[in-house]
Amino acid sequence: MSNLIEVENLTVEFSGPSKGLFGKKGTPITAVDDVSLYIKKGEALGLVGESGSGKTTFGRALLRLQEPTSGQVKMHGQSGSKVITDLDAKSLRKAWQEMQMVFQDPQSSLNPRMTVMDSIAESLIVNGLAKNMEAAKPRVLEVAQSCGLSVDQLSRYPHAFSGGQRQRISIARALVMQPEFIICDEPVSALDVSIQAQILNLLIDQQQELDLTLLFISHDLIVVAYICDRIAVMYLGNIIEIAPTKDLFKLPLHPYTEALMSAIPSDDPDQQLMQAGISGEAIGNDATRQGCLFAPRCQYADKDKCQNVKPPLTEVNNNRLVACHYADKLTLNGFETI
Amino acid sequence: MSDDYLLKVEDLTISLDVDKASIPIVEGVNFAIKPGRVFALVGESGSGKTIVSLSILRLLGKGVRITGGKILFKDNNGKTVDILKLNPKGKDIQAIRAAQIGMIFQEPMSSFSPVHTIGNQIEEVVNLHLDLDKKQARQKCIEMLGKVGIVNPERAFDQYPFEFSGGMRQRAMIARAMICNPKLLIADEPTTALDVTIQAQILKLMKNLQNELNMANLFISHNIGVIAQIADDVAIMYMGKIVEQGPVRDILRKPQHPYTKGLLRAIPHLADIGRSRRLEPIAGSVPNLFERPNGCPFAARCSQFIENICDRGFPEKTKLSPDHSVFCYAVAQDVNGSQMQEVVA
Repeated sequence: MSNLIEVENLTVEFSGPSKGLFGKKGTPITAVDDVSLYIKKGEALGLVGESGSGKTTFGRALLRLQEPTSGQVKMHGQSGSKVITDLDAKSLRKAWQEMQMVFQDPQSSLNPRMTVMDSIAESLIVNGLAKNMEAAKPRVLEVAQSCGLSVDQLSRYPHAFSGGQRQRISIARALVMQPEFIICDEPVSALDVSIQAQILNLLIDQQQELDLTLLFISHDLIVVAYICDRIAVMYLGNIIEIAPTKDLFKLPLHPYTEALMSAIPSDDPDQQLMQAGISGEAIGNDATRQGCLFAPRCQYADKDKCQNVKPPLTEVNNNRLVACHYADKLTLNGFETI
Repeated sequence: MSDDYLLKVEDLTISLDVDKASIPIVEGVNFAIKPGRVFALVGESGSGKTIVSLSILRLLGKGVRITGGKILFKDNNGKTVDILKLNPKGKDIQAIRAAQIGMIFQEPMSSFSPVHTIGNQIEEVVNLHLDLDKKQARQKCIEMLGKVGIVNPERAFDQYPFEFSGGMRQRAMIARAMICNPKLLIADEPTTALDVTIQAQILKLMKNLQNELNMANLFISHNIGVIAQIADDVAIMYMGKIVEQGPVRDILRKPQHPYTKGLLRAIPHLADIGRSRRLEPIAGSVPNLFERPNGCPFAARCSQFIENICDRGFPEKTKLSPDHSVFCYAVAQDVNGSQMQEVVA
């Protein structure tokens, strides 16, 4: 399989808090820190991390909804290869036809004053794929039905729908352009569990049927594991580990991945909570930080190397990528039974 | 259930006034919390679990009316009080709030005042309920902040909520809720807004404190994993009614109500990763409050729906064991059927 998306050294910085009302701007905060990764055609890549780890910013930077500070994003779509980060506004608009996004909160991502039909058809008309509403209608109906919406619902406004149905509308709106790549940013975290399962199934079905490539952003490791072939773990803007789902769960190589997994509350009442839990909280990332960013919370960190040298994302035993100085020496606990 | 309870809710019914109509949002809820145990209310959004918890402290907002039932609480003097008979603005309920029943809310940011220091807001509770001088009160607050795992509690006392992270704010909230050593702590989705690693820390803290102080806990959540870790007894709510309740192991391992079964099947399980990518959702969605069905509220989504029975009024309680009970016609038929067979045999 060839790569659809290639990200090279992508960095996004936000200006830091200024000192005083008229003071100088503080050191910039690094939200995404020199991230390189690829997503294969037809693959679902999961991106997990705690809030503030930069996963949403990374997703937005891929589409240039947030301009990256430096780095490159390439897309090798059916219409040829292009460097997304070099496109001008007009060609970027065109590129968006191939890459779409589903947002977390369907309440705020749908226009309350447009009917569902108008919302889904809008991008077809704006991009010149359909001349008017009449021409767009057949395609809208087709997509809406495949997303589980009935024809008579399409003339209603978003407020008449439940959260789950609104998320179906958002997915239909993304799919109507027949994109090759979809970024799903926490698409189910605002939904109840019984509805969450419906939406996850819809995403899985559509992905397989249309051979979509997905970047699935979530803080919920188990949900990501269900959907994704590979998982990338992000910590303070850095990818600290990336591996096929099963391998990652069986044997995490980074202490942070281990900690994340051990923090998942088991649904077995007799299984104790947290064996290898971590204490403390993530401290922000800026240019002044030295060494491994996870070191202050890491139970395996030493006083020398981990504090001073930042570990790069490197390959260790058979194709596993991990950013830890001791990845090949530590034996961490995952879920062996998987 | 035996008489050995701390808080007992009997036939609690709460309605929401909309225009001229009055819609029931909690109907005939019964449960009892025993001293020192963790009782969990589980349900989807809109199932009424938060409304039940707020009614215990009489904190319901305008338009939400308690229309029936009793909430019996054994107070510090050993007397049994019906909380629903108290004036929601009176002295009696104020003596119970925070002093005897503490509460932790879901959103730690919006439940602290942004213009007062953390210490100030915890001290307020102390000044209201305990007879301590200024120095002692401050000392007690700092002690409590340390107990909930805040590093450098003396500094934290003089800090404002915005200087705290979500996890620290939730710790401060726990400190505020527990400073008067209440007999019952109500925790409404205390970890939902937090990251998993912080959630694990908070759960562990709550468990430790609860054991240490032998406090009862009403825990509200929709996260089955969290429930499994913290609860002793569980009640499953659907559209304002309890549909199944019992000890946590019975509910999670031998669920009987079709809704409980569906809920447990719909969540992704660790053990299934890599085996199947499809989940088993519950079909349909929760009906609109205005379209509350006559019979069992779950009937429209239920796979075991029996025509002319399930749509004719809410089912009676079926006892499966002294503590485990379920409200379902299909289960009742099964149980009665097998009892009949036993009789015949």
